[in-house]
Amino acid sequence: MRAIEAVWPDRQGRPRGFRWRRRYVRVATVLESWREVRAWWRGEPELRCWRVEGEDGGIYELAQSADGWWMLKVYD
Amino acid sequence: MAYLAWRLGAIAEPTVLAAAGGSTDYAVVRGDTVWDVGEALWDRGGRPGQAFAALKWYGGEPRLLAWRASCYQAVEEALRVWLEDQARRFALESTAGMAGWGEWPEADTPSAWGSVLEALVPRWARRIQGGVASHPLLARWARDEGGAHRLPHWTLAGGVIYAVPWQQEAAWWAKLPLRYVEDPPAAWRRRGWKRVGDVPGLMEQLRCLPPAGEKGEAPVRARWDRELVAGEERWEGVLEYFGQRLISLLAERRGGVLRLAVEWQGEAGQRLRRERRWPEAAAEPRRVKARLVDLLQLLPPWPAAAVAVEAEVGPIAVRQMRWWGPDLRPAAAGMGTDGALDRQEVLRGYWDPWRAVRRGKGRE
Repeated sequence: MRAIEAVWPDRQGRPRGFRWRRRYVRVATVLESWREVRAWWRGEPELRCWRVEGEDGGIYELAQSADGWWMLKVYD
Repeated sequence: MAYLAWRLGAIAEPTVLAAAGGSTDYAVVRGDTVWDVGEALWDRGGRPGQAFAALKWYGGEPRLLAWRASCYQAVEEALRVWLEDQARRFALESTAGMAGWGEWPEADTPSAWGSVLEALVPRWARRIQGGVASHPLLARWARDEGGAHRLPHWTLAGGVIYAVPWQQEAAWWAKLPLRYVEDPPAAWRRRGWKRVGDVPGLMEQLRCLPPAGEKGEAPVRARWDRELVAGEERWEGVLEYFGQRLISLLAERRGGVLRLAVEWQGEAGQRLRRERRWPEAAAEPRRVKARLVDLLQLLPPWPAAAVAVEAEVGPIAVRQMRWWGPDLRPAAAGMGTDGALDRQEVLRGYWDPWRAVRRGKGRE
């Protein structure tokens, strides 16, 4: 899980574009979203997760917590 | 010298300027990083990208404003549109100070850079610190540390631009800190290497690699057709044939495969086309063949009369390469992984159909 420098959400909070590895990726489709209750007994915050398809053809999983946005996974 | 790297300050963002209440002594802060500074703070030495704690060294009592993504979105998008139109290649590195670089091949004197700089300042910001060199890595370094190394410079209203003289570039390449190379391998740090000149062969490779930006070189397209002899060939042979051609093309172009299309023609003349594009280039032979297999397995079963493969080759990023190997060449390019799965990823593997079931050892 790596921090994402900047994510631009729409009014519903869904990611519309984000910066990843010095590239701006515009979101083409939000494929799925879910919430994850993590190890709360260790103080880990709840995550709101998004699986999105970028206009570059990549599939990315983004997560939003109170601390900011995170990249969970990039599908090749 | 064709590359300009910049960092902007006092960015012309109406909501920030309104929040500053007319003052030019302000800093936009996100977490522990300074994202933008007003003219007064810039002139005292404050720069975007610095640690928040460092602001105390520049005196005054700057007004602190909280960063919001929506603040700079419009400016960044407008800047990107302008760069796509004006620059041959470009990359926006960070939203902190809208740092980035661009290539203008015809600009080789301060006066030639004038029109580019006039478009940046004061159109997008009122302060700029820049670096000019023949490669974006050197230009970025000149921008950040040109003053400390007393590089030749010229000043303009609102900023200073440092230039790396082309006669001395070899010497400056050797001194370039490794932090400017994207994701340098940890092994280099363990060996005590800190500069590009310390790593055998790295300088030569970096100098001749095309920099990967948001608007890069146009991809190279290649197409191979092959008539098949029924009963004599199998998919393994087809894969080997196209795979070898693709790999030799990648080696020749020093790039990776970005897009593949396979056209299949059945014995009755029917045609089928399957195509896929990947977000990052791959050059490692094993990965290239895996991408080819991905497409071939979407085709109908054997026999076929003819198969054609079309490939698009683009540049590979520095961070994708394995620099340290027996032949000291950037042979591998693929998506990186973080290695061990964390606990949450193991849990996702139980319910998420996107994830293959992996019985790896979780890391608590």
